[in-house]
Formats: sequence, structure tokens, C-alpha cells
Amino acid sequence: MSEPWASLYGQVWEDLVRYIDRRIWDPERAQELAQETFIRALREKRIPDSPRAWLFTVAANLARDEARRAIRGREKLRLVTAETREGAPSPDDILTVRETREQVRQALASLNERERESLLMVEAGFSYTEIAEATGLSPGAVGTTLSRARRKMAAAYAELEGGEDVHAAH
Amino acid sequence: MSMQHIDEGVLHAWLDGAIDADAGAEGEAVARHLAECAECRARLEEARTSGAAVSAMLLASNALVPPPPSFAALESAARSKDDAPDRSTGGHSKPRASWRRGPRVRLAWAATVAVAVSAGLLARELSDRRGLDLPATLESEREALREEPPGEPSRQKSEQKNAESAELRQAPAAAPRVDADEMAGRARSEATPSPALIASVPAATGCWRSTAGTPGGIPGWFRLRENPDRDLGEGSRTVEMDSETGAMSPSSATWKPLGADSIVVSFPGLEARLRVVADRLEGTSRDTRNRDAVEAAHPASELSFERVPCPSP
Repeated sequence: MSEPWASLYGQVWEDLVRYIDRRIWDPERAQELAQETFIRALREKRIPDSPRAWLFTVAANLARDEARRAIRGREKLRLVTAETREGAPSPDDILTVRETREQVRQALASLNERERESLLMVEAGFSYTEIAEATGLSPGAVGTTLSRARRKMAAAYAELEGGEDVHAAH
Repeated sequence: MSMQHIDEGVLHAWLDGAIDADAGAEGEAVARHLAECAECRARLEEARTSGAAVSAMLLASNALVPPPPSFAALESAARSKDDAPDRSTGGHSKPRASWRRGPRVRLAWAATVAVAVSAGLLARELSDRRGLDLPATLESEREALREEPPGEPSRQKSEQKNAESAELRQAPAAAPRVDADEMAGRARSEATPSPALIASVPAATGCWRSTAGTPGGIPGWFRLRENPDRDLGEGSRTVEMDSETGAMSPSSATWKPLGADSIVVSFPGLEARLRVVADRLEGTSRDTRNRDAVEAAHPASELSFERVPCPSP
């Protein structure tokens, strides 16, 4: 029963975590929700027709719940013990990524729901047909939505970057 | 020209591979038009460039994703009974309180967001110096537990509390590296919800200052945020508080409000150490490089925090 999930697990893990992370902007929580997604998958009585699409749909729902919850202000005070930080990235790396993430987060916030959904799905490797299904757009409208999404993203990002160079990926 | 210029959306569909020359009349028409029309070829290149820039942006914002936990761990979590198995359709389920994330493998670290306040439970020092005697504050602690709503397993609670304390006391004095199994075990031990000690609590977000003093001389306030980093390395344990119910996890820690603007967090039987890994939030958000990690040991089993005005960014 768990066979198809086991083989998908390694393949989609990173994509799934990032897909969730871009909605909630909390990478560790995103990993937990990705685990939750798989746990739900393992409890499914039958294997869905498209297991990969099923996973991302469940993940999107969990992320949406999470985002709502954050908005309702159930923030947590976390008190932790901390003994070692071995293996963690350097503070400078963290900060560089964090700045970029903040800019991307703001740029994504300038899109409407369908634009954001379409963009994140296409970046996660989904087809236009799958995007149309998930967003309720007509298949013909996906390209138009994506062109708007990309235009807005680029503009928002350029604005946030101010005079600085629009950078490329590392 | 055989058709009017290609629609922007169609150009994107073309670039994303949703339309191609070998599949269908639309694809053929686009290919034909592109061959004839320099203007559309230029628009195509423009779209390609902006699409690539957006992809690169998203790529650069990727969080570091550690390798996934073992699949077997998820399988056993899926089988476990304390996670209700009925919400399996991915619909809009009611989100569970955070401390009930179930028997989940806690991940060692995650990068990128800021930590606000953390406090260490110095079990090691306690066992070295003080043995097992619990501080007087435990008594009031027990009072609080007695007042919890019916149905909450308070007996079990305090047993678990003791078990956890014992576990901590036995921690080796050497560097506390933990293996995956132990991490998983800890995650399980944290899976039990704490009693809701109080009905209404001050929202946890905002800026707080430890009344026990300011460790290391850094500015005396900390911002508690919605997404505090849990990037604390292996060997860390997380104590979480739900600001709606006031419940904490693990149950060895509790907190209570002392008025609207102060809280006290108790670690019965353990010595608290305040560790601050904080953005100092001085100047603009561009200046977040100014970070500190400082620690101060406090000879107490509880830490008090009082609310202070947040400096404007």
C-alpha cells in the first residue's frame, strides 16, 4: 500500500517542502507539514490517480490552514535549550538568504491568489492542465495568468531591490 | 502574415511547454508565426528572460532543506493511534495545536528566520550542583496544575514531568549529540498536550524583557515573533507555548501571566538558562547582520518576562 508513496518520497521531498515554505515562510514548519502530508497519504485507503498532484494539493491545504492560523494570532513563544549548532549554516549565509526570502515573500504578496498558485505550481513542475484543475482557471487562461504573475513578480522585485542589481541565482 | 501576433499568454504556454509544435493545430500555428514574425520572436525572448529571472528569484529564496526523515518513521507515525486518522482527505481540517504535531521526527535545524528568545534547561549543571531537590516554586506550580479543567490527565502529566526531568538529568556531561532515534523519542515525549493553565493570556508576540537581567549586556529586550527560528542544532529541545490556551509543551515547563504585561515561565526541577539569539532590530531591516547569541545562567527555575514597548524599526 505504501509502495508508490515510498518511491515518491525522495523525489518530491524538496519540492514539496519549498512549495509549502513559499506559502508559510517557515522552513522547519514546512518540513513538518510535508511529513504530515505523507502521513495522510499513508493513511489513504486507496492510491489516488495522480499521487504527486494529490500530495501537493494536500500540502497546499495544510499550508492554507497554517497561514490562517498565523493570521489569527496563535503565535507561539518558543523556549528552547540550545547546546550545539553544529552543521548549521553560518549566520551570514542565513542573513543573505533571509533578505532574499523577505523580498521574494513581498513580491509574491503582490500577486493575487490564482497568479501565485499558478506560478508556484508551474515552478514545482506541474502542467498547465494540472494547474487549471487546481486553480479553477480554464486551461487557456493559465498562460495569461502566468504571464501576469511573472510580470508582477519581476516588477515588484525590481522595486524592492531599488538601485541594486537584479541578481541571478547562485 | 497568417495570423495576428501571438498572445502573451500563449507565449508563456509555449515557453512552459504547454503548447508545442508537434502537438495540435495551435502549436503548429505558433511555430509558423514565430518563423515569420521578428516582433513575436523578440517578445518571446523577452518573456523567456523575465520568466528565467522569476525562476532565479524563487530559487534564490529557497530554504535549505535537510534530507527527509526516514520513510519508516513516517510509516510508524501513520500507524500510531494518537493522531486521529480520519482527516485524510486533505480538506480544510481544523489545525491541531502545535504541541500535538503527533509523533513526528523533529528536524535538527532549519535556516533563515530569526530566533527571539530561548531559554536553556541546564539539566547538566543541576545534576552536578544541586541534585534532585526541587525549588519552592514547584508548590505554586502544583496548585496551578490542580486547577486545570477536568478531563486533563494531570497525574499522568506530573509523572511525565518527572520522567522528563530524569531523562534530562541523565544526559551525559559530554557534548549532547543526539542520534535520530533519540530525537524521535523526544518528539514523542513532547506529543502530549499540556493542560490549559489559564483561560486568557497576553498574546505572546511583542517585545519582552527578562526581569532576571540582561544576559551579556545586550539591549534588554527581545522580540517574540510569529515564526521564530528553531535553528538550535542537535540536542535542542523545544518548549512551545500556545498563546491561545497558554498550554506549554513539554509539560515540565509551564507559564503563567502576572498581569497583562508579564509572564513567568517555570521549569520545575531544572535550572533555567537564558539564551538569546536575536536580531537587535536596530536601524532598518537591512541592518539585521547585527546579531548576537548570548547566554546567561540564572540560579532559578523560572524566568520572568515583562512586556516592553517595541522600538520602531
